[in-house]
Amino acid sequence: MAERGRIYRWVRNRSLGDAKARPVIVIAPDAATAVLERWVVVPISSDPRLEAHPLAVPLSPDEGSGLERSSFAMSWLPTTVVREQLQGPIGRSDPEVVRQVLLTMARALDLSMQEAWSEDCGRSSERLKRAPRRSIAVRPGVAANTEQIAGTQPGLPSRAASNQQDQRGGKQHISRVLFTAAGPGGLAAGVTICL
Amino acid sequence: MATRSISVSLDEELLAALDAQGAIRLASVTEAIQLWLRRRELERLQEAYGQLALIQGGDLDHAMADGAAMGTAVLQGLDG
Repeated sequence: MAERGRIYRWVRNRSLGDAKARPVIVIAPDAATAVLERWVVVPISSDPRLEAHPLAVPLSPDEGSGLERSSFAMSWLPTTVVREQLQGPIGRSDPEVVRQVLLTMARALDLSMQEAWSEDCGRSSERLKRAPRRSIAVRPGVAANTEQIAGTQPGLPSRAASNQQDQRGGKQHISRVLFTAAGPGGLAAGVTICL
Repeated sequence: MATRSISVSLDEELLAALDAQGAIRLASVTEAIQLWLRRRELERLQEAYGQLALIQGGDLDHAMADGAAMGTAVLQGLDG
């Protein structure tokens, strides 16, 4: 069954009895959802301040979508969710809406890599000069602190890894980290950052 | 890729500078427009994220936290 475009509810803090549910729209292709238990989705917010925001795709409250109020797909914040944590589906978006979400997501994440790319990860040369290179210790699987990996919370699991690191005196000296981390800014997957 | 012809008037000084870049005006103008559009797109992107950063509280904050929690649950499952 085609899942792309379907809207589900993800229930927050189920163990604490909090019934608050967050609608999400499935953006993973059916080839993935048909066989995987972890789906890529985009959270949906009803925050009216997102009205007309260029990265928020409006979703209408109607029988088709199953949404109760005007909402917005947060295209800049795709994340992964465990299938079994989803309730529904409560509805489905039109193909054109799904297309808009995907196009906006591509723009929001600069998937065409328009942003300048350099070894200093896009930092201006002046800023780079001011920022001393640091060696940090990163425990595998855990983001060390918010300063080391921007946008993540201390102790939250990360899949950090290690595409350019070496071992010196027991510490991992990392110039870049390819990581998947969850933080207040959401899930960042496969992002190369400078430390 | 399909193309269309348009007529553009440039002042003499700019046209001379353009021609100094190479013999093929089309290539020079195309490159210039592409770079200009890319810069504009990036500026709009920066502005969009800047606007998001100014929005505090409300459902947006909850939605951001939920998004992080969804990803955390997945990662915890992978670690387990």
